[in-house]
Amino acid sequence: MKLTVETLKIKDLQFGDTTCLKDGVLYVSKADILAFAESEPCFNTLKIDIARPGDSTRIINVVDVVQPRCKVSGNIDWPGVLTDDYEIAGSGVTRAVEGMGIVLCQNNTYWSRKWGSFDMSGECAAINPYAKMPELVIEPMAPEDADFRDYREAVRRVGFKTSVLLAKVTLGQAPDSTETFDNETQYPDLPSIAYSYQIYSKQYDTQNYREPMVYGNAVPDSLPLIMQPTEILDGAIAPCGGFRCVTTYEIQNHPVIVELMRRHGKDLNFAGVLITVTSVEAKHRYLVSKMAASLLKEVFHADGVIVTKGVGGASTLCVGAIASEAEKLGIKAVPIIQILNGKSNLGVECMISEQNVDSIVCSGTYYHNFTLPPVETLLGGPEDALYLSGDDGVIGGHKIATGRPAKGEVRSTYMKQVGLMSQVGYSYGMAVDY
Amino acid sequence: MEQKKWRVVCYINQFFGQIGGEDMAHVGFSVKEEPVGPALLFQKLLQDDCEVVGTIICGDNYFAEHTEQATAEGVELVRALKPDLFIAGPAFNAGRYGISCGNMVSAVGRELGIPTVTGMYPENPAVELFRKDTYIVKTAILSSQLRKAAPVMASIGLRLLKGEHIGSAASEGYIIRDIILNEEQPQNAAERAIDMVLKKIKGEPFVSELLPPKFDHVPPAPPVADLSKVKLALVTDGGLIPQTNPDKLKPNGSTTWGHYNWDTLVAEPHFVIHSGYDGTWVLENPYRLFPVDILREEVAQGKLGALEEEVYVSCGNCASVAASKAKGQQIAQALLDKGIQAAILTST
Amino acid sequence: MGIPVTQICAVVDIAKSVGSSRILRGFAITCPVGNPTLSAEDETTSRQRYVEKALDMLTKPGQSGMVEDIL
Repeated sequence: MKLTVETLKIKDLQFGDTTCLKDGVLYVSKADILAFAESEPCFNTLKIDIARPGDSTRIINVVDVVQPRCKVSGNIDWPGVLTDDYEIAGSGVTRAVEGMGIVLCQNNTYWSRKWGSFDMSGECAAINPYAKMPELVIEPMAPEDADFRDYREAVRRVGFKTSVLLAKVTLGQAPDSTETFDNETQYPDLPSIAYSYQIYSKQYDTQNYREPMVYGNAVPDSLPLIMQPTEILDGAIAPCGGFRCVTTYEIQNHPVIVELMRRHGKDLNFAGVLITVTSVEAKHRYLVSKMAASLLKEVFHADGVIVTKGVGGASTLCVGAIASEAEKLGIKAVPIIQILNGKSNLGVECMISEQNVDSIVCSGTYYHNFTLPPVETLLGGPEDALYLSGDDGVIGGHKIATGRPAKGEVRSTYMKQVGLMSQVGYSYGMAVDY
Repeated sequence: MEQKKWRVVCYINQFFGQIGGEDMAHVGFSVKEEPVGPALLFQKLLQDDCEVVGTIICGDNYFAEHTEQATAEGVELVRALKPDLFIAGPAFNAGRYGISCGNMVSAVGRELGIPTVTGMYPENPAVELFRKDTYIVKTAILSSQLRKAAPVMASIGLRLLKGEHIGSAASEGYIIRDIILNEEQPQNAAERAIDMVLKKIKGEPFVSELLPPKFDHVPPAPPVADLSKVKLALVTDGGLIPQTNPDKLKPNGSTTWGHYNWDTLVAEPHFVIHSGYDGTWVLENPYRLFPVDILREEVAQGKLGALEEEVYVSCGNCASVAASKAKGQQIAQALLDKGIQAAILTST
Repeated sequence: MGIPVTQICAVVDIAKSVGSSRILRGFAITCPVGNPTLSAEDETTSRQRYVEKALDMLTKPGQSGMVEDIL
């Protein structure tokens, strides 16, 4: 499958009376975004702000960051999420807008066990791609009794509709660059690399809400699926829940897929993508890992595989099992995993125990801590919101609210800073012993 | 205008203090208000910013034979010299000297709140005891290599005084202190992974960023001879605790555990603090974590001797092996103290 | 002397890697002993099978890393 992404770079993002692109500046009319909320019964209204690089601004309760994108080749945008009609994503032409993000917040902290935040200035901002561009911050305001399942899906719909709207208004302007992602032609003489992409784990689903990740469908116990790499870049997979160290932005610009595509036919052959989910039952994990390895060998004829995971320990075990089973079949496997501790050493903290998995990329420890200074502006929650440390929030259906006022000095972690740690390999950090 | 120099105090043993060799290892503390032995080198290395105002010397045996007392004595001597930085050794591969340097830097750092640095050969037994308390610069086995280690020690010491960043263990040359931090790389993780897999396929050398650990071997405990005569306890790492959380368990990285009477636990408000799994199923039916229902039946039928009324709860989420081992030892001891002879541990 | 322990867990790899010697594969991470998909009565029966297997394992010599299943 072949996908062309044409990218238009904007100079700035500002509010305006109409949503339009003028002299390289993208103007957003709040009324246009508010209109998306009207059909969402679980919202009272939306709070819409722009956060800029260098601002003394902290955005909390972040559940996702989205890049403005739309189809320009008559295809469906976000099939299964914005429409009931389905088509397979990943072909034709897509317009992407570079130079801004849409940040989605969830204003009731307690609905999400996992939520992220980020600052637009300071120590973390210096290494955060999302703090280096203006962000349109959308915080839906919901009544106390709103159903969190409805709310989450509504937040996602509003975010994606905004994404499509903002990309569409740029169509009059020719793109700055165009890139075609295409691995239809295979190069059997080059080392053949596949990608095993664990998209989701049900272990973190609050109250058994199954996150509808694949074309708007939940896939809690899915067996390995074969998906076209361009599908993933083009809206087939979208998170819809608490922040779990991967954003839609990172999936739209999926670093493993983009890099493999760019090198396809040059120094490697991109064999294809396998989609898996975290197994919470061991039996399922054994099947998934063996089945994944078998597909990698028999269908993809892969010489090597990159394996990425979702957040958490069980997910690490699953990617370890896939890597180990692949190695047993002669496929060189490199999982990208993280360390779940900060006060320890790398010698004992690798959660993969299979000794034949000896080529691992470690994209950091979750618990590299930061102390962040007070900010002038707090977005994503009420002025008096608390900055919950660690995994606080709803735990086992029980509210835990501890933490300092989010507007003041707060303690944060690498994993909590949206943009610093990416499960799909978008981030630059590596864990090091001190 | 000359700036005030930082005061440095050094600690060395009787050999480096030029008191004598093994025959003088029994001598107690002495203080010279000037640099002696290796301290002369530190004085030279740090002369622009610091002054070595004293050298504390102690015999190896004197220290090793009365470690606690000697440490207390040594700390008071250091305190009297009002240092800003304390440098001990380096001790190279000397076992007793390592112990004295380690105890001194550890106690001085803790009690005087000043930066400390020492040096040792990585296999010096004192390394494992003190590496988390200070910066132990890696040295060679033999003291003839002092000139290599001293500049590294001096540089770390000076930067600690200035409040400057000390880099990773590997880049600086000290022994890991059990702190893991993230460092931004020129390539993102995806690019690093693709490069690594290509190298592996081609048989080219690569460095894995992490490797599976090699864990301890634990010999299995002998089996129970007769179930109908033993008292069994239930243990979990699943974090089901009273709402009041009396033992202050944490959702992740918890270092504490608790024991709770089962009937009270379930009768009163309780919750799952473990944030690594969804507790809905367990809260719906806590027997899914602690099969007390079945075990009570087993006791009633005479198949099992007795069931301990208290359940033992820890929270296993994001627990390091070391922390888990410590909790495990505490729980095992508590079970032994109660005369428990068998256990079922449920893990989430 | 030591206390024999049967560890019931769904993620047996961790138990294996740290040296547990009587490991019984549990139903799920979120439910070690039971099966929420069954009726209440059947689930109790399922839990009984886990418990009786775990007790039985306590009476037999352990072996580091050995994993058993309820049949």
